This record gives sequence, structure tokens and C-alpha cells, in this order.
Amino acid sequence: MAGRGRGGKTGSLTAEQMQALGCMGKDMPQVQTAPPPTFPALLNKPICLETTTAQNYQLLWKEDFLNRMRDSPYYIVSASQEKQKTSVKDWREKALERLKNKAQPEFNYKAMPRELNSNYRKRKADPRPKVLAKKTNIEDRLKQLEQKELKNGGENENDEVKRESDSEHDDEPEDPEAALDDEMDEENDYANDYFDNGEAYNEEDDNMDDGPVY
Amino acid sequence: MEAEVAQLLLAVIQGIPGGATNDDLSKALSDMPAGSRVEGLNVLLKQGSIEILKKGDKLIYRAKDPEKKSALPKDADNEEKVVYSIVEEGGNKGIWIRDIRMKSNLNMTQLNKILKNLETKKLIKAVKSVNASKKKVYMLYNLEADRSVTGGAWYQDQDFEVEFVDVLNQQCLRFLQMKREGAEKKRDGPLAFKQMSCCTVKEVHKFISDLGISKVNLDEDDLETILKTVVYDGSAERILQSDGTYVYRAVNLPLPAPGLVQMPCGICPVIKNCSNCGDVTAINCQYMNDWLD
Amino acid sequence: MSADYAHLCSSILEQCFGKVVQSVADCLFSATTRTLSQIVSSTNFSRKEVVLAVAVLIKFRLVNFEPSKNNPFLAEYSLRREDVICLLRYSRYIHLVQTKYGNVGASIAEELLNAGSETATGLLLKCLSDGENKAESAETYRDTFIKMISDHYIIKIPELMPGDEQDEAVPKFQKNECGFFVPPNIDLQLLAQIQKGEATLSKALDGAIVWSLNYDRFHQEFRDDIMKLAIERKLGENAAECFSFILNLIYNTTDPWQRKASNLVTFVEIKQAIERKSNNMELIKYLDQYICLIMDDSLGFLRKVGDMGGGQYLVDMEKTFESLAFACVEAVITERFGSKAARIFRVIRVKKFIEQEDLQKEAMIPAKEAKSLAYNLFQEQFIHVKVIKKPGGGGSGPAKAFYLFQIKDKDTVRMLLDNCFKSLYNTIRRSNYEKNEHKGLIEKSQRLDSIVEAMKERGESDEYIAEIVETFTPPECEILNKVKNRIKTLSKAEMTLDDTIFLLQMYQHHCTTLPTGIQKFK
Repeated sequence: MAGRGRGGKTGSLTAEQMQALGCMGKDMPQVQTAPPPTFPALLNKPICLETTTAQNYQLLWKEDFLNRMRDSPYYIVSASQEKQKTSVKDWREKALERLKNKAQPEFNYKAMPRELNSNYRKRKADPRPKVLAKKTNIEDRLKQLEQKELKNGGENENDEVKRESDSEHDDEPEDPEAALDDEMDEENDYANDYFDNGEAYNEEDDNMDDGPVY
Repeated sequence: MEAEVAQLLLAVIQGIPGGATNDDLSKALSDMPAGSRVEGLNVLLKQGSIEILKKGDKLIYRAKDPEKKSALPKDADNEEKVVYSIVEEGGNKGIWIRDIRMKSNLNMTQLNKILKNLETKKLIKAVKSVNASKKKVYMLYNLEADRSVTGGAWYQDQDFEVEFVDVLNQQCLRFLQMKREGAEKKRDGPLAFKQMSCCTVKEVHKFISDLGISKVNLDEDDLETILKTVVYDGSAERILQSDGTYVYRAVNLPLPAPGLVQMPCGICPVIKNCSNCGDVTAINCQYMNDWLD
Repeated sequence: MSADYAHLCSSILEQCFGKVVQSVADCLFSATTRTLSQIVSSTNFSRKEVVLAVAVLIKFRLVNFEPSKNNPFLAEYSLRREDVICLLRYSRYIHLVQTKYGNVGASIAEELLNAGSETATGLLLKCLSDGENKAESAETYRDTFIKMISDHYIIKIPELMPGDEQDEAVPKFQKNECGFFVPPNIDLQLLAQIQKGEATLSKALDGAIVWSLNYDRFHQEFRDDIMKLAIERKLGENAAECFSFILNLIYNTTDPWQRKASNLVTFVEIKQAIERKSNNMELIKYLDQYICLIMDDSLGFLRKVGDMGGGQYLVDMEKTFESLAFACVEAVITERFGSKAARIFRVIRVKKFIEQEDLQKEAMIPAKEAKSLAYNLFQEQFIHVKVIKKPGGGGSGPAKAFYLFQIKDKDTVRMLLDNCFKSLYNTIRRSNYEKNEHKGLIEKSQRLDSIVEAMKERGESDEYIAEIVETFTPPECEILNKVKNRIKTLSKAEMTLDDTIFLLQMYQHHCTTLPTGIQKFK
């Protein structure tokens, strides 16, 4: 029954077909009695051409490039991976890493969708001190927050926690552009609130894990 | 008496150009009993004046041309004659044993005996056909088998002479390259160079004949076949001339060895099995190991 | 895009940018577009990391974004798949720049590659602050930079559209092609000030104009090199020189990436150009003969189409790359299966359709060997079988079927290209494996090198340095050398493999209608 296919074809070939294909007669290969070897012998070796000067130059450059990319800020190592590594490192390796002093990635945020801008923060309904600080010193920040705490009381605890932990982890200096963005966003913030798809919830969860809670 | 009968029969048979069947004979000589007719026919056959042919189911008796001497010796019996004449008709292409059986209507064992007899008498010979190695064709002993049967110059005893062909291939290529090198020395511009490095089949033929490496006589067509294989190897090109013939010249390949074959994956026979897991991976690949060390 | 190419891109991105970027790209590879949330949910990394990864990919021009159709404030991202492999060609681009523009050019290109895309002022700053390049002045850098733009090696990234249509959520860009190579205004004084620390980069006037390397311009050079090399090998140096003049003339009127054939060029133009610029007396003397030679050659690079102006010619890209791609295929077959198999392949190619019996005769190969080789070629998909059925004798009787061998050009090339991708993936994977296996050793040697260097700078005695060097034992040294050699062999194989990939991609661009993403402006 299985042999009867569409158009009356059967599963096997007729003798004539076999002959046309050249499958008859003593020209057939031997019957296999064991599976073929995983790596049968090769006819000849791969060709080996001399490495030209151009190729040498390119090889060296490529090695350098890969090393540079590894050390560049654009090579992203996940936090989960880092945690696996830290346990094994010894003091010498940590010293070397500090010496390396990773540069900061530079992005042209204006040419990218706003959601990619990590400086951009979702505004909550409270006023932030519009400080156009060139550098955020952690101590200064803490002092500012202490002052605010005394002023506003406990209602804004969540946001302070968020900002604290953010400032601990974001080593990027606040540049004027980000502050400008903040200003604009405070006024025209409808878009983000309108399309709240629960992302803020996730963010807060992350921050809970990251920073200490006071 | 017999002779008279035979003469009468012969006359009738000669009168019918296509040959006479038994029915024709009995109609023409209606008063002749069947027995004497048969005897008469036998006599005629023995004399060699008529021959038997088969048309469909019927036997036909045809007058043989008296000038055509049959090489068959007199002591051959009728069946042998029949078989012999069938084989003769096969000409230099020969005739397959099954076809002989069909035409002569003899059974296999008898036919085989006859064929063996004729072979020992050196009247016919068996030739293996190059197309189907089990097939044997029979032809007259002194005929030279046609090319389609023997395969021509490239076959010796029905075996394709690989080394011979390869040697010819190499020699032809060498000749083309020598001609090209000779042309390079002159500096008359590129087209002159191209012209001078071209070889006609005649020139190649002369060269090969002079070399004397061939036991068999090779004609120009044979060499053209060889030259075509040199072209198919990518070592030469053929250019059509205005008179319809081709000339050949040695050429270089346009590309150096591609990068793919500079590493084992390019020549790997099991690359289809290669993936991230399993027996064949990049990491445990034996070819890679050999190549890297 | 095949699965092999997908794996390859994945491993290339992991090598250059790490695992986060790799998994973001994997997510985008198998989709037309994705939004940010979709990417975050399909990878295992935190949103912050994914955001950073996407930003990196955009900066390196590997990812595009567009406003979503349903919601113009939501960005949808898509991967530029064809560009991922260009990451492997970086060293080749740099080498080309080095030969054309010297170390200054090489340094500019290198900084541009390191950063992905950069403003002119920022770029020059980086070049000048690099310790090795103190010898050259800012003017030289600026001039070389401008020259590279006018030669189209550096291209401007589309600028932001000004005005009301602009939206921060998903920025829109100008689509005007004319402005891609307009040189920027580089203020050298400001540059000097910034170097001294008296001003910041944000003061630069060209901050909105971002530049990047124009890969396809490099690809054009590579493609031309392949063609010239082929002609040189087959027809000699003079013919190759003649052809390169023809190509230069053609680029005056033709888009270099036009698919089938170029526009016309006349004999008179060629003659004028060569007489003006070439020193090759023999070429000038026999110019018409050389052109005839290239035209008549079986490679089919040049074709005559008219008689105006002494003869009108065009470069037949389709025929060119068909010849070259199949020369490559035949070379692979020769190495993999032997020269007899290559002969069989060429016979089938010439005859278009041929039966097994005739194949044996034409190729002069014994029946058994011919059958075995043909079968191998068929199994590896270099050749295909076409079945023609005829109704059997007089309507009754079994149907007779003819099995003819044929070559399906596009399929064969595509199969070989996938083969290359797989091989390249294997090299990268093996290379990573070797590096991981001996990671301890490699890192130790690197540490040792940096310590020795530091000691030399401090001026320690040679003896002390030698002692430290000896902490690296001879057997370790030997193993390290072995590993380094292996990695070097693998790297070299990567480079040469990429050459083959490039050739086959050129075939796909010129001889098929597949979308290849190559164009004059990107």
C-alpha cells in the first residue's frame, strides 16, 4: 500500500530505470558491511600558500583590533558573567583591571530612539533640583538628598532610593544635554505615561536588587 | 530425378525475386509431392544455390547470386550454413547471439554447438562489445570489428586504456605549452603571440606520431578527442576558425587557488555532518588537528 | 540568508562585542524587526544591558530603526545582516587605506573603525592624541581626511531631519543622497584648543555630522582587483593595465554596482586616457590588439556593442563573474575530488545536459570511475539531475526515463557559499577554543610581558628581567608557541576564506537578482 503513490509511481525502480541510471552490473560499489569511518582518508592535503607581506600586516592588525575591541567600552560583559568571574580573580588580576581603566562609551543619543538613552530617566511627579552639575560627587549627592529628606519627608523614599542606587552604578557624568532632556521631558511627558506597558515595574525591581535600601 | 526437381524448384525460386515461401512453391509446382520438394530444397541448399531466410513466421527460399562465392566449405551442414549467413549479414558490427537464434529458429544448445564449430573452423569469431560487457557479438572471422563495438583506439581487449589516454593527454598539453613558450619569445604584439601559440590538430597529430608512443594507429579525430579533454581539464582553450575547424592553445587559470581549499573544511568529505555537536565538530575534527600541527 | 550565515554572524559579533550583543543580534537575525521590549524578553539579560547593546550596534551601523507602523513613537529595530561579515574585512580595509594614504590615512581609518562612527573633529582629536602619531600635524590629518571623503572611502551618515517632523522617541533622517560626500568644516584652531584643554568637543560646529567608512567603496576596489588579477594571469600585465584604464573610464559614467553590465566606453576615450597617463610603450603601440585580445577571450570581460568612436565597448559584469565564480568552483572540485571530477564538471557545463554514457565518452574516463565521480558530485550538490520521461513504445510498455546531468548555476554557487560560511564559523570556533583551552597560559604570558615592559621603563637591570622571564618555563614556552602558531594559521585561513566568500558574493550581486545590500551610497 505504501508503494502506491500519486500517479501510479511505485517506491522502487524498474530494471530499465536502474540500467538508465547505470546501477546495474559489475560497476556497482561493494556492499557496505560497516558504517563508514567518521573521518575517511583525504585525497590530498589543503593547499598551503605563502603568507604575503600584505597578509602578515593584516594578521597583526586583526589581532590588535580584537584585543582593542575586547578592552573597549563597546564590548559588553553581562553582570551575571562578571559575578561568575569575580570569585576566581586574585589580587594581581584585580590590580591589572584597575590599571586598564576602561573608557566610557560615547553615544550620539540624538540620533537614536529615546528609549536607548540610559541617561534618560522616567520622571515621577516630584520636582527634582535642577542642578546643572558638571560632576556628580557622591558625597555631594548624599548631602543633597539628606536635605531633601528633611524637607519632603517620607513620601518620596522610593524615588530617592532609585536615584541613589542609580548614582552609585551609573558612573557616567551628567552632561548638560541630559539635563536639557530632563527639562523638556518634565513638561511633555505624556507619551511615556500614556503607553505604560509595565516597564517601570521591571525597572524598579532591578533597582531593588542592586542598591542597598535605606 | 532429384536433380530435375531441384532445377524446377530453383527456377521457381529465381522467378520470385523476394524469395519463395513454401506456399509459393507448392502453388507453382502443385503436382510435386511435399517430400520431393523438401529433398529438392535440401539439394539446392547443399549446392549453395539458394539460401533460407525467415520472414516473420515463414521461411523463404531465395536464389543466391551464383557469382557470390560462399566461403562456406562444402561439408558444412545446413544449419551451419544458415547460421553462417546470418552472421555474415551482421557485417562488421556483428550480431548478438540472441538475434541469431531468432533468425535461425534453432534452439540454444544446438546453436551454441554450431557457433563453436564455426569458431574452431575459424569462419566466425566472437567479439566482446564495449558497450555491454556481457554481450558477445559474432562476425566473420576476417572482418575488422567496427569502432562502436571495440571502442576504437582507446580500447585494448575491451578494456579502456586509462594510462594510454592520460599519457596522450599529457603529451598533447606539453606540445601546446611548448608552442606557447616559443611564441612568447617573439615580441610582435599580443595578437601575433596568440596566433603563434595556437596549434591545429594536424600539428599535434604529427607531433604525437613522431613521438611514437602509440602502438595503435591514431587518426586526427582521435587526437581531437584527446585535445578536447585537455580543454575540459581547463589547461587549454579551443578557438573556432573561420573554416569551421578548431585550433587549440595552452592557457593559464584565471584564479589562484581559492581560500576555501587552503583549509581542511574546503576538502572535507564529511562536512555535511559537521555541526556544533556530535561526532564531527570543529573542535574534535581530525583533519583540523592534522592541519594545525 | 541561511542558517550557516546566521551562526557565522553570531560568532563574529561575539568575538567583537561580547555575548550580550551576540544574543541581541541573534534575536534580530531571525526576525524582520523587533521592538526593544521584545528583544529584552527574548534574551536573558537585563534591560540596561540590552539597551547598551542595541546602542552599540546602532553606533557601528549594524542595526537600523524605524518608527513602527502602528505607533510612530515606538521604534522597531532590524539587523543589517549583510554588513556583519564586513567586520571580518576590517584588516583588509585598513591595508588598502595604508597603501593609498599612508600611515596618516591608516590611523584615521583605524580610529573610525574603533568607534564605529564619529564626528570629524572628534576623530581628528583621537588621531592626534594617540601617542604614536605625534610626528604629523593636524593639517595633514585634516587634508587626508578630506581626500578620503572625496574619494568616497568615508561617507556621511544620514543627518537628522531638522524641524517639526523630528521626534525624539524615534528620530528621522534625511534621505538626500547628494550630500553624502560633502566635506565638513573642520576648525583646526578649535582642535588645538581642545587638545590643550581650553575647550571641549561640544563646542565643535560639526557635532551633528557623523562619518563612517564606506564599505562598498572598498568592496569596489577588491572587486576590481579580482578582475585585474584574472586578466593578468591569463593575458599578461599589459592587458591588465589596459583593463584597469577601461574600468576607471567606466566609473565616470556608471554606477559601480550596476548589476548586469556597465555603460559604454569608446575606443577613442580609452586611447586618450592611456596615452595621457601610461608609460607603457608596448601597450600604447598595440592598444587595439590588446583590446581585441580581452574582447575575444573566453572569460568574456569585455564586449563590443557598436562601432561609433572607433568601437564601443562595455564591461560585461555578469559574464565576468560567472566565469570567475565557476573557475573557483572548479578549483574546489579539483582539490576535493580530483582533476578527473573537475573534467566531468566542465563537460557537463559545456554540454548543458548530458547522459551518463555520453559523459564517459566525452570525458574519456572509464565507466566505473566516471560513475563514481559523477555520483559524488551529485551527492555534494555540485551537479543536479534532470529527469525526462517519455511514454513507452507505442503508448504501451514501461515509460522510458532519461536521466540527464545538469548544473544549476545559482544553486551550486549558493551551496558553495554556505560551505564557506560553515568553514569560517569552524575556524572562529576552533580559534576561540584554542584560546580558552590555554587561557591561563596566554594570560600569564601577557602579564609577564606587561611586567617586563614596566620594569624596563623603570630601568631595572637586565639580569633581574631575565630572572622574571625565566618564570615562564621552556615547556610552557613551547606550548605557547604552538598555540600561537595554530591561532595564526586559523586567522590566515579566515582571511583567505573571506576572499572566496567575497568572490561568490560578487557572483550573487552581478549574476542573480538576489538582494545583496550593496550600493553606491548607504
